[in-house]
Amino acid sequence: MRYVIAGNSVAAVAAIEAIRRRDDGGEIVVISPEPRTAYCRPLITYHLAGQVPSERLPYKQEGFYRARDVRVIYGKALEGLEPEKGRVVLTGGERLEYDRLLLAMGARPFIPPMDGVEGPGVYPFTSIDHMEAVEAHLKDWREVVVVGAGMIGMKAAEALHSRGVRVTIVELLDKILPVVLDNASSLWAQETLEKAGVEYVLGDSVVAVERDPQGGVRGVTLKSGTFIPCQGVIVAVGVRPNVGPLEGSGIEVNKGVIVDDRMETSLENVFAAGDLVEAYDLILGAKRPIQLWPLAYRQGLIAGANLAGGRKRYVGGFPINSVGFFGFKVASAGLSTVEPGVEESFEVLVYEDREKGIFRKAVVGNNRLMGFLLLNDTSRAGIYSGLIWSRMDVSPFKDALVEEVSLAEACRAVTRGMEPWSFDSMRDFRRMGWALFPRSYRKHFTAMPSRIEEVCAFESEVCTI
Amino acid sequence: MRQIKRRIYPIEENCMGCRLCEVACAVEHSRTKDPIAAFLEEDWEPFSHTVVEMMGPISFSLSCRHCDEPYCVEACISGALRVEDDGRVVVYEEVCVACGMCVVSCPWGAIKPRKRNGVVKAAKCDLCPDREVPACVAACPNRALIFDTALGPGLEKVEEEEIIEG
Repeated sequence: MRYVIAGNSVAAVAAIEAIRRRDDGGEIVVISPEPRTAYCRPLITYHLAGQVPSERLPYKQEGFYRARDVRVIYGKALEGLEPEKGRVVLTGGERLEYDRLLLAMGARPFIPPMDGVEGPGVYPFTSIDHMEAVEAHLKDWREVVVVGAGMIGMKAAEALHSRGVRVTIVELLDKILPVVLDNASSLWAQETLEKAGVEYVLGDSVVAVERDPQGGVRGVTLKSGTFIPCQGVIVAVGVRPNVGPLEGSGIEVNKGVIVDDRMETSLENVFAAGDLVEAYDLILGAKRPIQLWPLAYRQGLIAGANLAGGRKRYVGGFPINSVGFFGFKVASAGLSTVEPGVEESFEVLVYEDREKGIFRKAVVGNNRLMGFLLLNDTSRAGIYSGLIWSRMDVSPFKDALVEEVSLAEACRAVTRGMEPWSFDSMRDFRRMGWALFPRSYRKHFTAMPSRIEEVCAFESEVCTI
Repeated sequence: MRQIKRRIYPIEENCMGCRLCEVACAVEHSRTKDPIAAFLEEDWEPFSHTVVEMMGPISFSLSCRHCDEPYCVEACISGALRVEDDGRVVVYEEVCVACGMCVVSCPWGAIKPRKRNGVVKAAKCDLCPDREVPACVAACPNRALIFDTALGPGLEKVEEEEIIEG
């Protein structure tokens, strides 16, 4: 049995572990487009800021592959797929046969159309190569424009700022971290940026990168006509599933590769995981690509188990984010900001205390917690994620949900004045925190700790919006 | 393959919410391991990995579940969280970059950021590697915490999961 894994990042690593848990003998071949072992992409901004030395960048070292008897083909990418012959095409035209194939090529940075975007001085920021290119330029960059105020953009801006570069952030939408923050919480982020001395332009976009006669970047022109002088541009407007090499193979692709709940694609013996796929979103109740590290790991683990003949099922996932920049911390999960037009479907609970620097927001839909957003104090954010997983009815303690840090404290506030042992009214409170679940489930937990989503009863009707 | 599953289980019915386990945990994970010095003299705040959740008459002491497939390990971007061969889920502090992903992903809220000497790192239950029985279990006056070292379900090589219908 030969397992071929296209891609060498977290989904591939998780798949290797899952395959080896079931199959010691099978041959595993990893196609690694970059000439290095799996590394952590989010860490490159930490490295640029000088917080993480380069020897800490690898997620797995050479020894990980050796110990699991994995052959890695470095420096070659998957260029095509011939499913009827059961083989893949590598860079340079080389063919490789497979019995089971895992597609985990991840995503490519998206570069929006701008005049003069081709050429030196304009970089995306998703790989070590990008980071090294930017680092090499740092000595002659005094001003940099970061296009996009998402996670990557903000972390890159922070790193560049810490290296003494004047940074200007340009964002198309009218808020910082547009996917996560709403307008109110974006003001907190903007305040932080102003304090740190980082310029930002919201609600505008770059239409052209202006170059001097030698080809070097001289500045950017915005849609509003403003000219911002700079020597370098970082483009961080997001990533798109890397489905280009799969064209013509007959695999079902929408925005990403479509997979079923076993992570199998429309082709036989071909599985997919990670940023490449369009998997089930537990909150939206539909398939969509979510490009985040923990989901890629989980999908890789499940795909790997199923590659080796297991019967694991992906129940779905939701985005989980934690990001900090200039001392400002954001923790969010699920649907943390509600788009205009659908507000009436949700109840948005907000607790704001500017003096203490606390901002908590919970989005409740159909009496279930759909998402949350916490600023600065994020120490027990996980309990909210547990509430999302559990899909329990939160209506009895809705107000306390955002007011108190400890959910147990919140529960106490709610239960005050109730019959202490009235189990009907207490039932839902008793599920809070660790006791998130009905008693029978908790018994199960004390007997055998397991994953929440496997023991929770999922009600499909509450998932749909 | 994992040999032994070691876990701390709370027994809700026995817990009276005295929070001695929190004190014991904070002392055990201090530098001097002396209660008074730990709370008054050391240069960092005492920090307990276990939290006593209390709601009216119900209370229990919650620390890391040391899950078989932990959410925190999945979420860790730096590789600082690992599952050891004996089933413990451990933070390698020198690798941790304090991104906070584990804190957001743990559904028990059992992993928390800890600031020590001005540096923030993830902190969670380590099952007291220096002791035979974890400090919280030893400190519990009411047998509301038990330490299970029995051979667990993690021993089997393959855990087949049934496909849940619906």
